[in-house]
Amino acid sequence: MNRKDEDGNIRRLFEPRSIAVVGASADPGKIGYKILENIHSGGYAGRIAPVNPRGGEILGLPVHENVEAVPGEVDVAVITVPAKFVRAAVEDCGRKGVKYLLVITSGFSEVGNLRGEREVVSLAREAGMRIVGPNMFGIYSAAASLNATFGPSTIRPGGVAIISQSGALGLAMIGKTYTENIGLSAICSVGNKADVDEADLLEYLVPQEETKVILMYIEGVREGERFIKALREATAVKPVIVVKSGRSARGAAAAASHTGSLAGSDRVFDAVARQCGALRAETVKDAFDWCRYVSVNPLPRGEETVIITNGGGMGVLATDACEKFGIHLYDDLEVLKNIFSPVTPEFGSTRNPVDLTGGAEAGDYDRALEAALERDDVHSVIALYCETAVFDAGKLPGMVHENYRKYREREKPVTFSLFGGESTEATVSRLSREQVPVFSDVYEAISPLGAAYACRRYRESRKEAFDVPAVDREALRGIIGPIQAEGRHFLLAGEAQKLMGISGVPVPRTRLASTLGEAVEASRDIGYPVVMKVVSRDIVHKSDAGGVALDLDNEKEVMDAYEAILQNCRTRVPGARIQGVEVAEMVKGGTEMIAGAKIDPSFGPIVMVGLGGIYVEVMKDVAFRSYPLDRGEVLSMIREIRSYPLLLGVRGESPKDIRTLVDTILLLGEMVFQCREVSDIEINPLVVYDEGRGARAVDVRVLLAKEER
Amino acid sequence: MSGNGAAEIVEKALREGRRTLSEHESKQVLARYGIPVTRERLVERRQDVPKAAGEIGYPLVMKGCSAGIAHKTERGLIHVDLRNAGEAVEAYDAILAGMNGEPGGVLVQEMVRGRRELVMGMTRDPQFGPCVMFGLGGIFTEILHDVCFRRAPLERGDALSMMGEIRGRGILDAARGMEAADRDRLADMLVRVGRIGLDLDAVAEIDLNPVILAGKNPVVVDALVILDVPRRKL
Repeated sequence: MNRKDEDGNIRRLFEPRSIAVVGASADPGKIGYKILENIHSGGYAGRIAPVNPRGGEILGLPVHENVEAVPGEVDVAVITVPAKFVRAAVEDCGRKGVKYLLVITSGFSEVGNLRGEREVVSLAREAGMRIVGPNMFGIYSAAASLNATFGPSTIRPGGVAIISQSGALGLAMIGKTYTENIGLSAICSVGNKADVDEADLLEYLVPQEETKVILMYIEGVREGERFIKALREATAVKPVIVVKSGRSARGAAAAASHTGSLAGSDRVFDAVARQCGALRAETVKDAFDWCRYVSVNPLPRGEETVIITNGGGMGVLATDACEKFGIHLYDDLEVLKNIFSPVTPEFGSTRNPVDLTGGAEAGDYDRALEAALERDDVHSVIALYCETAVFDAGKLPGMVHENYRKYREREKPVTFSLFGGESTEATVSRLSREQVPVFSDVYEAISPLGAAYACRRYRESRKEAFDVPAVDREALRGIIGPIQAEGRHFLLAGEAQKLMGISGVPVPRTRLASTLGEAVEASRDIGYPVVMKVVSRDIVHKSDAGGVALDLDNEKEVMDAYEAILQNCRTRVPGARIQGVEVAEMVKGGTEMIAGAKIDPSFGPIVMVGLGGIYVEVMKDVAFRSYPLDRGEVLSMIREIRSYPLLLGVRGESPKDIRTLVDTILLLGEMVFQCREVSDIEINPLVVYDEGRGARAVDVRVLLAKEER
Repeated sequence: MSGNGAAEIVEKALREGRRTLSEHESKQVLARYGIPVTRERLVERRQDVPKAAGEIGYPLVMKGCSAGIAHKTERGLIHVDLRNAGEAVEAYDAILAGMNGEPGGVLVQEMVRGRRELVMGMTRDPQFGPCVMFGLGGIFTEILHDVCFRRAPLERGDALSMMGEIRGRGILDAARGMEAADRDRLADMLVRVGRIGLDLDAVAEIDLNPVILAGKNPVVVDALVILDVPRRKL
């Protein structure tokens, strides 16, 4: 379907042997000039072919009348002509046999011109070309020394690849990476994503050697299931850091079920990103710090971290930061003493943080860092420095640089926080330019280590196989078919219970009874206590009609309730046709949870769990995952909710049947996955009993998908 | 907000060398400060159970009541939804047996119906003095720690702002067929809890959990007052 080049991915897009700029201009104010100038001055070694019907020469390069007239092959054509000429330019490129088009031009789907965009894409497809954009800012590739953007002309080569959905922000990020001393391996803006999207780009960047970490700026995702697959594959190999805007969007607020309204698409995105092992940064600043750190440090090989400091206060701040970012501090005091007492002064401390005291000099740091480096049971190190008068400032850059070099050589991660006045700040700037992981603020130095640990833990826990329960799709369709035929998009309570029942989700035992004798017998079979409800198509609000009796403990109460219900209903709803009563098991005790599954418009099937009952809307204590997944991931979703301790048993209660909860969630996921006619399932409450005693889906809501347009 | 007689209850307990008030005594202190508590009778003889129960009205809750008893739930000393005299007397016997001869009696209490549970309390901060707490009650207090604090004395405005500060604030609104909570009443209760802290130096801590919303009206269903010998003010 999607054409790829000889390497099976889109390598020639990033490493073209020749590039044409369609709409090249001699006017320095035009994009068609700026891009050509960036390519020309950036050191690109391939052939550069400016194209413009006016001909002539720009920057000393001969201008061709059209792409077809360019001698030799053209791998990439950058299209900068106005929207109305794009079609002709694409046709021209097609005749030439160009492989990739970067359509810089805007004026397509982003302004509602969907038709123009589709036309261009299908023209390109017919000619076997792939399109990036339209409405994009170009591409940068360190591997080809190619800067085909209309952004800054100075880009520092390095290990960070950026994929950006935003134009202006993406360009600004390039500028900022330079001042933040971040080196780039590649940048690509995806623009309107008419053809090439994040998944295609990841495919190239993941095996690419120069790229150590991938940073993505995302606003929205199309083809979510494809995106999820590509992201999972990427994070298995390299850290992927995501900045996504729209955290506060409430697009799904109008959805008909809780799963819908609780799963504002950003919350789903967040869950999916985490599930795929991507690191989501809240701010661009965080994202840059993480990039800078992970592009020059390996991931830690174990959980034990040691802090080395010359100031107690800074050590305490660092300890707080470690707790916040989920970093475990090595706490075997005996071992720490063995490692550090030979290198720590008498008034210092060998506990973690290891305090070298304010009298520490460069040599003291060298010895302490060396001691930590030698130990295989210390997996990462945080070195803190407060500017002091005893430390010879001139030795600071050398000390940090040399120790970093040794750590790098031995593949152990280290991060430095250097805090102080002018000379210290100058050292921080200088060393960051030299790609050493130094920061001034303690939290800034430690937050990237937290990200590295998140990455490591994801890889450790990653499984290839999913747990897939068996669901009888035909049986589901047997129930849904007639409802769809009626044009109805929701299931009645009884239908929903039946749907759960045949799928293996535990529901309360229920029996219909049309006489007093049958009611008594049904109650005995089900087991006391029971609930009794009137069954009548004329009575919608059963409670208001006095048609509900709860907690019936014995035969006498059942008989009294039966009579009372009939009498109430006849009096309050005169003329109502009463078929009888429904006797159901009274669901008592247990913990009220909510569980659900739905088809998310961008990410496909997702499952949800949370605190149920009346607290659903109030606490919004829910967690999401993309389906399919394995049992371990379902458990991690359940552990994520704040009310998780309820399931472990509080106030002397026994632990709850978490196994059944996991089974139920998997079943719900599989139901929407197998049977896309079902768009939403929500159980609230799902009462979960003590361990080994199962659960009951008390109230079930099922929505069906509306017909596709 | 007079608190008339509250100090006497506390002093009596201190004279007996106690460090806590029983649930019943705690609620008497609260009641003297105009804080709504459950209607209840303390019963010490088996034959008094039916009369007390009749006065309170079924269904009932019965609890073991002694200054020394903590963890009533775990010890099985709370019986709920008792619907007639027979059940009440049976519960009395079971509770008494469970108390293993500890002094005190059995509390016969109205059963407050409501699905929403809140918590209120008072603690003394070593630096800042009495502070009032408000949050989600019942088991959610321990699990979600969704509470906030204000230093006493509280103005009404302080108390009202506490209700907007907890994550679970939505529980106070009308939803799912439940009325909006009476925020004025809640605010008034918080102001009064703070007042107790300021008035009675010997009260080290107050824990009102749960405060159940019966419809829109808050009622203190369980209460514990912890005492401390008053430190001399510097």
